[in-house]
Amino acid sequence: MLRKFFVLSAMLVAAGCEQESQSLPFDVNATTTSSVSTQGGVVSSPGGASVSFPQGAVSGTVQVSVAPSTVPAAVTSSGTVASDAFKIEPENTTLAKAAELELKFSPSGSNAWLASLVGISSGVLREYGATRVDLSSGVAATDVTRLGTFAVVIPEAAAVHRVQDSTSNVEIPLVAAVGPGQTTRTISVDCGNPGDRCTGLTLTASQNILNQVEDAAAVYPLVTDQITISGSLASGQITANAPVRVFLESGTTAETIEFNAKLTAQNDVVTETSTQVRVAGVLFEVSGSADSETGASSEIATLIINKSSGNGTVVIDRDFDITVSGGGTESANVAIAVPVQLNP
Amino acid sequence: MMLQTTETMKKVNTLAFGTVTLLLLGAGQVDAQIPAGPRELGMGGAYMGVARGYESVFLAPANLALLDGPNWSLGFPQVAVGGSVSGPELTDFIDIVDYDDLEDSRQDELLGLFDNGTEGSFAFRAPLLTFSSGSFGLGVSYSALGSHTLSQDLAELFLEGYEDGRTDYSVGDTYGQRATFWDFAASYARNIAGISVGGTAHYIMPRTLVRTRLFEPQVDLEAQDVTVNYVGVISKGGSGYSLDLGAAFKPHPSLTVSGAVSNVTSQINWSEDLYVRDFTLDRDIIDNATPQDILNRYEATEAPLDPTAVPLRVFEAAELLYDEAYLPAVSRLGVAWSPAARTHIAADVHNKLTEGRLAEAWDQRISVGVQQSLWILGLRAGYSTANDGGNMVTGGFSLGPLDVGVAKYQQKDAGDIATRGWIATFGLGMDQNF
Repeated sequence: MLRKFFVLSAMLVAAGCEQESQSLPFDVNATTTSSVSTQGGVVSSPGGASVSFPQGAVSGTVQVSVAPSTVPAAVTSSGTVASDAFKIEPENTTLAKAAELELKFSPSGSNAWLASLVGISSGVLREYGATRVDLSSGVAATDVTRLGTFAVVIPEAAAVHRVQDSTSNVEIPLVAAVGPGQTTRTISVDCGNPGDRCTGLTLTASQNILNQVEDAAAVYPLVTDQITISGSLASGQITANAPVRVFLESGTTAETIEFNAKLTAQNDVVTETSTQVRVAGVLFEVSGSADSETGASSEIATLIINKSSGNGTVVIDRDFDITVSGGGTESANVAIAVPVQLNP
Repeated sequence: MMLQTTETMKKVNTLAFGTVTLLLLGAGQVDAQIPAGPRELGMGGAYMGVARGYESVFLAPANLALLDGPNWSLGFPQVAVGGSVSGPELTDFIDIVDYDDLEDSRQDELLGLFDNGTEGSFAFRAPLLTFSSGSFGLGVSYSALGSHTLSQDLAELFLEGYEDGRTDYSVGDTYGQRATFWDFAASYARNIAGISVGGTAHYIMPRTLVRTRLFEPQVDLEAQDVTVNYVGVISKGGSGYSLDLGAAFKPHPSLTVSGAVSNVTSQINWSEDLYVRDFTLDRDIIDNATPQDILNRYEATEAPLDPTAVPLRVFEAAELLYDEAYLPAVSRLGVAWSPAARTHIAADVHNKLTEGRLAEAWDQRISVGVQQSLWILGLRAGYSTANDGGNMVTGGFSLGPLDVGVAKYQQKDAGDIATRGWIATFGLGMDQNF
């Protein structure tokens, strides 16, 4: 009898049609357009993109649109694409203040914490190593100053430089060396872009940082420019942007310690031996965020480039304070060693 | 000074924790088990064959036409409140209120209870007015169901406070949901050749459907700051209906067999005009704000949800807002034996036929109960067990028109983690035969 009753009940319900869950009233394929004024604003697509403009990011009022897009072919040169692409227009608009761009992505695989935004505007590819990642919600976010088409990628291995122990002394492969009896005329470096990654770049961090993270890596470092030596005087500059991604111990989020440096020589005196090139009086400007004074430092020091064993390296470091377990504050440090080219 | 602040915060955090958890206690797994009336609960939910008059409207509509029912009956506010929580027991929560004063070993033991996180749920069901006259019945009921998870790390944050320098807090698996709605019911039954058949039509007036989520903390190592976003997406209003059908008969004067299928057909359309609450807690708020202050600030952030202008976390929070937010079809079959006029022994089998989170959480349950009346006093006891191992021990009494019922609920999941809860109901009811 019980069986018959429940069978009859099921038939009744089947005849009545079972309700299905309502869909959210969001059109994931729609192009969304909103006006953004100097007061700022947010423009989002339910498909998985949102851009937040702070006050002063744009002048006047700008119609900003966000639309799903095909992934530009050039983006694949940065790594494995892990999200849909979104076109944010007006393309190539330059922002006076950085806007925060968030994209939804598939956080799968052991390297998901390295996920980074990559954008193209006017045909120029930009890789945003300074991306913040939330693996539990699958959102990657970064600050952008130029609008275009964006996607999330897991960077190719050559663009990721895992942290070494702070006491390690990694040998950096020879890039080029000035031969015996020759004099260095330029100290140059130009690496970081797709097809020309910074092979040999090493990242080190102080132990108190390593204690707070599961892993760390410089992601999409970009080091460029050159110092030219004329007679015994050097001039020119080397710039480095090496965002350091830290995978927090929670295992769910990754943040970025920004690392920007500019080494400027202004007719500084050069001395060269068979093992070193020394440029005295170089201005070392090191900061966190590129557009702020956060954690910025500036000092005059001697730039030492070791030539021993046929290597040429420039080491740049950045010091800042962090809170450590127990509540105290300690000085922490991250440093990159970059291979440079010494040309006769 | 720093130590003082930390200690103060611990107390505040403990208070916050207590508030949240007690709110959860006072208010799902229990949600479905919660019978509408105290008499029904007192008999373990085995009431299909016993219900007469106004009690039939929301349970067994066909019983309205049984010949031994009252000419008219009236049920005043019947209020049922239930809550459950997985992991800790009630005594543990008493200790949690005094967490700071406990010995280290007991503190460790309490923290250990949250190793797999916890979930609290509540249900409130109030048939505010139910009336029957002959074969007709009318009723209006208000229901609220909700639940909230609490991750292990969030429990630790509440109990121990934020520990500087730690970057291993993970709170992203903390979710909440709540649904409230009005149910206006009209019933009619008719006796055909000795078998009573009946139905109840429900007009459902949705009030609020809420989905909340706590997101992973953003830790700025350099700024020595931590921020956490708590986002709620709310649907207000909507419309809906459902239909219950039933049949009952008395093969013997002392025996009643009654069956019903609730929500044979139903549809609830929640409003698509959504609202969002998006609150960011930073280090200063975490350290200095009171729980009430945080709640007030969170509520003050409410604004219409414009899907073209929100952070992605809002979409993430909204993801399961409508998921199964409707009434499931449930078949119920019961039998009651009344060897004497004031003695009832009953058994019910309930079987959930379709998905839907606005009612029974147990897929199947078997209930047995007994009721003995003596002058103006009535006593009840019951037991209910579910196919997934949950069980409920119940009891209750009537004193004149006052009915009271209580139940203790327990269920173990696959990981052997127990969910425990209590249900309490009371109400006033009266009936009259001419």
